[in-house]
Amino acid sequence: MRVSARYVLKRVGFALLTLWAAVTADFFLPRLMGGNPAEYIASQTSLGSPQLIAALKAEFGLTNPNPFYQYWRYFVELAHGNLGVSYEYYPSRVGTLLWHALPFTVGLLLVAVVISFVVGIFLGMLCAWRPGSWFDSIVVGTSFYLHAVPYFWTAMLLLLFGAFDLKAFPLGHALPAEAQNFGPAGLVVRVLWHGVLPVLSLLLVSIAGHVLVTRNNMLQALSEDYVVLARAKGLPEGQVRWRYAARTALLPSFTGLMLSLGHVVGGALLTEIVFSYPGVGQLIYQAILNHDYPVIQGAFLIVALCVIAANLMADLVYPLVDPRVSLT
Amino acid sequence: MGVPLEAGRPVRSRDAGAARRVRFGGTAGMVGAAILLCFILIAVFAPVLSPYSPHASNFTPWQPPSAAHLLGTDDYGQDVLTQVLWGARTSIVVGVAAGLLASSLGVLVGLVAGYTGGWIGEVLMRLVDLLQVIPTIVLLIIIAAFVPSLGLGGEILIIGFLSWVWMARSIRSQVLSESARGYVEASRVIGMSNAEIMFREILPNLLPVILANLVLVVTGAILAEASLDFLGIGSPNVISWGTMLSLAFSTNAILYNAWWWIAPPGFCIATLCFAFILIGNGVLAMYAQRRGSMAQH
Amino acid sequence: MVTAVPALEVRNLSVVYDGVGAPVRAVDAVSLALAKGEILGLAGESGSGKSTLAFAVTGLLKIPGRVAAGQVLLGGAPVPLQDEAAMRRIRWRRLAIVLQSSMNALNPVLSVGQQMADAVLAHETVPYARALARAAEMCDLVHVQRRYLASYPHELSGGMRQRVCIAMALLLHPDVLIMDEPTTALDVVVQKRILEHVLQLRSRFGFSVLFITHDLPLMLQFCDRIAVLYAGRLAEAAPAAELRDRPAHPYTQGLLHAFPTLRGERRALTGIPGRAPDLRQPIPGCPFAPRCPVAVDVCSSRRPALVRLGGGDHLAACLLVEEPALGKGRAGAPAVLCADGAPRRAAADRAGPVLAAHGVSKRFAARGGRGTIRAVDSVDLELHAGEIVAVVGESGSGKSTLARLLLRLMPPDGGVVALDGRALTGSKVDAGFRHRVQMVFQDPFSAFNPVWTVGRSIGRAVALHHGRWDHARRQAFAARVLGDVGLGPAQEVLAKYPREFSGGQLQRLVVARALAVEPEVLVADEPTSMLDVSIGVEVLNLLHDLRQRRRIGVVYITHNLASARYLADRILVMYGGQVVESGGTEEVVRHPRHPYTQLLVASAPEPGSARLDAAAAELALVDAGIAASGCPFHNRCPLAMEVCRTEVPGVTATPQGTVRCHLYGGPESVAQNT
Repeated sequence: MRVSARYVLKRVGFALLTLWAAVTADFFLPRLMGGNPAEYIASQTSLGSPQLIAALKAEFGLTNPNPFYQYWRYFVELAHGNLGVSYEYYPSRVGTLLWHALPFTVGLLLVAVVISFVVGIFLGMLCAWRPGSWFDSIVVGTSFYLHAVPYFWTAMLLLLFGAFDLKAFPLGHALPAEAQNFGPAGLVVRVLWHGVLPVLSLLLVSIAGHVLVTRNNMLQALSEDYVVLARAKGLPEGQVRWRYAARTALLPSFTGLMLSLGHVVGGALLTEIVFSYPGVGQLIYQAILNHDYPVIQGAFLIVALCVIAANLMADLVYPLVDPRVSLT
Repeated sequence: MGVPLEAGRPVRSRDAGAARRVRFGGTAGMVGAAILLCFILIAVFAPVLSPYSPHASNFTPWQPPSAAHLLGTDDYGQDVLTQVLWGARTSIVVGVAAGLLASSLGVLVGLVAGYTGGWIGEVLMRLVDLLQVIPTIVLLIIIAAFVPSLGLGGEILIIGFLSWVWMARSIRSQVLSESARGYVEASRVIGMSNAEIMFREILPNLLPVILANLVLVVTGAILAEASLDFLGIGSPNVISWGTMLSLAFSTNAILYNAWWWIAPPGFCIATLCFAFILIGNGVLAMYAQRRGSMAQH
Repeated sequence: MVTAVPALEVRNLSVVYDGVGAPVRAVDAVSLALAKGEILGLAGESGSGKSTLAFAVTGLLKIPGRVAAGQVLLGGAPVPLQDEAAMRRIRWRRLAIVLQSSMNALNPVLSVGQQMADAVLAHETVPYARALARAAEMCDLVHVQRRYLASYPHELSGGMRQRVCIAMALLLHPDVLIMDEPTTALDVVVQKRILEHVLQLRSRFGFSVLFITHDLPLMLQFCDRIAVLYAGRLAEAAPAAELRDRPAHPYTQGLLHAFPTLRGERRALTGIPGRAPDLRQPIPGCPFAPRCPVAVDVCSSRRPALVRLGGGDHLAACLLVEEPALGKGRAGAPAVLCADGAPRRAAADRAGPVLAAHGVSKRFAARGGRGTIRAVDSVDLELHAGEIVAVVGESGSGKSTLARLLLRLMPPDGGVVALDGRALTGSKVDAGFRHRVQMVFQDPFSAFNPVWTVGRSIGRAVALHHGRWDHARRQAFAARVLGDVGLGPAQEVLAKYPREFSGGQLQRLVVARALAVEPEVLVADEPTSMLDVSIGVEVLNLLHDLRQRRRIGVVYITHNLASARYLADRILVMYGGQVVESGGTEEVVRHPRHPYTQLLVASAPEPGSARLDAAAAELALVDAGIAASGCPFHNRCPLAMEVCRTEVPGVTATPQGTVRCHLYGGPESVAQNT
């Protein structure tokens, strides 16, 4: 067994610490606006009944001026899954709204991240095998440029050309308006159809980083002694590259994938807005426009939770891929 | 955005085509510097270069490019070219200021954590790990959404305070490898103070890495600023490329097929960031070459 | 003379590295033959082209390098260096290689067994299980337990990894085995056993060995024949004994006189001043001429031919050998480069020690966070003015940690460091201490800050300790210090950057910086291990010189017992953080008492001693690491008793010195142990 209990405990402990930091940041967010959050909520009485406001204030401990008590109540409510009530979509609970939006964002991200990772490392390795060739120069040059492109701009261009000019793809949303007219199979096809441009816009930008990082690591690995020795052993070139060089070269890419997740999530939120894709990003955007603060707060927590969980999973899987990291 | 490039680790260049890559990096770096210079000139001379006043909104809206309006007009009847030229100021000022702020913080944290080690270093690095896992871009958006009337100064501050993590990590690992080099121990043995060793001995050796990372931090800051403006929570009253895209999006420019309004600001953001990335890459290539040639002697 | 077809032959081979500037001629028209079953040593300093030659033979040169001319023949047939597919079939089946760093040579994420089996599967269509079984059989032969086949490289010790590499190289019974500095990273005890083992395997399988190393004494013991390369050219080639007794080329003579010895009389070593030529420039004459003490004018313009001496297979490329008449009129033409007598031992100093350590200990957290490692375990050391004390030990013995404790770069966990008999406590180090105790570093290439001139770095040292001096006085002082280490002119040297100096010059500058504070003690941590031997000897001579002229005390930390004998008045032998034996230099070297010291003396390569013996001794004892309990050496000690396993031995003082072994005294008292 390569993964020791000690290692697992350390990683889980760190994930919990990070989560605590995220929750704490979330708790302080409304207090950034200055003044008392209770008063702020009270000023929104036009959005709901005064009874609800009072109930909410009691729930989150806002009637008690002690900030530590409020902090404590905040945790208690979160532990019960209570993220508050949306002002805009009253009386919907924030949790419910997020629960409906999350699958779209997660789906979008999962597809985009997996494709960009696979294609990115493949291109990066091809470059590293022919350093200085025209193929390498073009891919590296393009990657440098794509790395600098804002996600939402790619999204707007794709929408403009792919959907408006060419009419090849829908102009937005995740589902056709008359969704009830389709059978399950037809619905799946149309959901995928709606997802093509959003995924593509994420893909184009996030692929560049994987290309550049993989290329660097692969070049490094190819100059290592163990690759020279693999050649000296008379191994076929394919085995030298894939079995001996690529395995070590890809380990940092794997870590990089996780570290980049936060960035891609940020990009996905913006992409969703451009495509009116009904995910968490769209929810945040609407909430920003409508000053629907509980939704913003809740959305951040959910996003942070997902990213932290993904990182934890990666940390736990990593020792299985790299035998050198076992007991630390 | 995308995978944060690691700028701290020059690739050991004893492999194929190393020399060619160095030359390529050098030329590319010069190209990057030239592009950056163009943008700086545009930003400085925006009042001279712009055909119209940035606040003039008395033209016919939704005009495609013409001789009078090289990049057409937007839905408010403003000249797009004028907006693009003036927008350079915001991106460069916010990018460079936030980048410098973040880099100073990152260098300080990285130096202290790497050199002094001990519990202070441990605490600082845990903080860095933590901030790396929390999606800072999202946090940035959320904070901006909560803080009323952020303004340019506010944008600079929050972007600066949320983007030093990569710099700190990179600097720390570089400091660790520098500390293993004999001259650091030699400095201690001849009786230098820790402050002198950190700032006079180690810091000058970090300059290439700092510069390469600074460039990435600036790139990130420019993109972050554009994102905030796009969401309308940055500084909506200042002319910027992000604000232009935000207005284009919210006024359905796509449905008007107003590519002349959508394409230029994004192109400028990307090209400006591209210039910074090229410069950083050139710096690292030269640095790797210098280190490589030193090892040969 | 060997008339049969050689196993490996290199004809007129030239290798060029195309770089940014002019191409580097790394190997220049070298011809060599390796007979069947022979062990040919390829000697030379760094940059001599010996590793390049090995890689060129296998067709594995890194890309900017290419074979510019010449031929390689394997069993008489030309090797198709340009045909990758054909080379792939030849590699490992006929030509296998063992690299210097076994850590880098093995892939960190593949198990040892997988990597060995891959080599079999690349050439034979057998099931994986069969390939693994072959690997297991070969592991038996090199005494690596079969269970390690499932391990990953980082789980094995350095010696074990290198034996895995050798087993892997022999899997397909190649005709030729190339070994590129295979034991340089290993300790002498392990080195000797591994090479003895290679000899055993050779007599069993009959392969030939091309053995590359910078360590001439080792080569003299291990090889049948030796070829000496200098600046990419063959300088001399001869049977080992012939080369040792009758070296013809001045460079070979210089090399032979750069290695200190353990046996026989101590003699002065001179080293070879100067540095290797820049291979980007064309060298019309003999490349060694600028450093050669017997060179004549024509040497720098006429390229010497390789001439056969005495009709045997002794070849040398020297004009003075070619035409002895050229050297007439010069005193002692191609003769031994040795001049004055051996370093003198210091007379015993009646005064108390300048620097002393009393029972100092240091523990580090073990990797993985479990338990602690006793890096230094209650060590006593006394250094008098003008005395040189050597601390000898293998890697992991704690000698470098001891150096840092003596320099107060880290606080000890137990015990005290004392200056002039006054114990120094507290973590704050005052300027007075730094003023009196200085350090010479292992790696001269990184000891100066690359962004500052050497003048600034040395100037800071002067300024920190002579703050009241004005600029002119500091300058004059810096110039004087440079003179002390034999460098000048001062203005020119001080204005340069570290990268403009050679390793030997840099190490002198390191000493100069230390001298700038006018210390009484120098702690020199492996000051020659990064330098070529011919340059390193000069640094040792400089340290000796400083002791003679300035009465500076030196703590000389080294892994090389012979160099300790050359320089030191007293020797401390460390193992597992403990000083296992100490005493007068000749006493320790000639009559070692601790079993570890005895092993160390027996394992050190000696030019004059007998050839290595194919009848290898017990290997199992060699690989064990430092024991966690009892005597740290008990698991490798042939004389270990029951008590050694459980009790830490105490220090036994005798008239000859101290020894820490149960054979000589009782266990350590409890009080000392804490």
